[in-house]
Amino acid sequence: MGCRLSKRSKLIPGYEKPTVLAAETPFTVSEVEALHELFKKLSSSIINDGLIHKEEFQLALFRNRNKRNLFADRIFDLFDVKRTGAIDFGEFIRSLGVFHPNAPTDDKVAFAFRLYDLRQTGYIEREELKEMVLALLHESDLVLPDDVVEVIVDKTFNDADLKGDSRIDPVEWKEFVSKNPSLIKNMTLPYLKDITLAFPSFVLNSEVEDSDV
Amino acid sequence: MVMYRKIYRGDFKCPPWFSSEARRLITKLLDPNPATRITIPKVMESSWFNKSVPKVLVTKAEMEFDKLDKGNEPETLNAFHIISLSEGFDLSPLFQGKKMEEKEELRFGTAGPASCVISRLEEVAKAGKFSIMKTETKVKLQGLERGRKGKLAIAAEIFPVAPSFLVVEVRKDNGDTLEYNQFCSKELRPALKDILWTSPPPS
Repeated sequence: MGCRLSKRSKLIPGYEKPTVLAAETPFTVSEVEALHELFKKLSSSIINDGLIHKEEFQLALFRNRNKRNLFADRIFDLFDVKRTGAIDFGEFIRSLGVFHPNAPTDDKVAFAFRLYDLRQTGYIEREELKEMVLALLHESDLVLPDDVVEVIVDKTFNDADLKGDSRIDPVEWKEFVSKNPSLIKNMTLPYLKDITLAFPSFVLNSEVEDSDV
Repeated sequence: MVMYRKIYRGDFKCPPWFSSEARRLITKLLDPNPATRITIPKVMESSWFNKSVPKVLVTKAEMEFDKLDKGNEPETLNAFHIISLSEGFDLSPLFQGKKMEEKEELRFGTAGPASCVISRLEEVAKAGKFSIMKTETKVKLQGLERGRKGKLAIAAEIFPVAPSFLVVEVRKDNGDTLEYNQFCSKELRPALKDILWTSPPPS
């Protein structure tokens, strides 16, 4: 046959070459390799199969494998692009790429929309918005009176639902974000720019030639 | 990749105009082995370091204390802003090995008005001997004495969320986290207790 499979592709499901991932995300090849070190750590914490399962994700995020959180669930589901129930390496890198400071704003806006579209109907309905606000209040120590929650949800919805059809569509969402840019602040993780500093050991395992970097 | 390998091996050359003291210090700093690498206390004792360093290191936050941004109208917090506060969105623990420190932000709801919140904070400032800077929606407190990590500074911001309801966010702006947490539990929370909105007990 003549071609030898790289040792890594046999071990990590969904493995794609760093050069390919770097070309299609804001990460450099070295950053992809550094993230690979992180991925190996996260995906082996409970079940060592090269995939990040929901419990491993919860363990990493909350230091508690059983802690449930509506928003963490949404992030997990969106990272799991192929809907296999676990996050593989390619999905991990491509999804994290959206959070990079240099990722296009449109990608961040679209990702946030899908995040908030809880039932994936293609629209954010008023009930979904209220459900999310209540979920946040439930998890934090911020308490608001019921009538204030109604006022907040109503006002937000009216500001965003320009067509007045009781749901927010992607176009209305984009318009709403352009008027309130801080709404997608949580879609950028500034420390993704310094990821090679956090995981310097990638140098030891690098399969990449200097000329490719 | 070449650069990363050099870092890993501690392979570097100082320019010829560097003093020998600087060279020695840099060699000890760029030691790839964390066990033998020079520590910060030792750096501060080194002869090069002691040549021209201010006696007291003032942080940027301390220097900018009086530059309170009186600028724009505060954004009204809408439902999506509130949702984005969730810890489920904060992916930073994936990247940090250490245990999360206690939250440095405190948020509470209040029927207000804003002037009431501000005057409460002024009372706290007076009692705790903090200097205070304020606008209609922002308050900054700065301790007069230096703590373990400089002067403790607290910033509070008031956001309207509904016609007669506000959300107040208080966070540490400078200084040691333990001192901040002590301040919150011993001085801040008691002072805000009666204006801080909590759910009525079940009847």
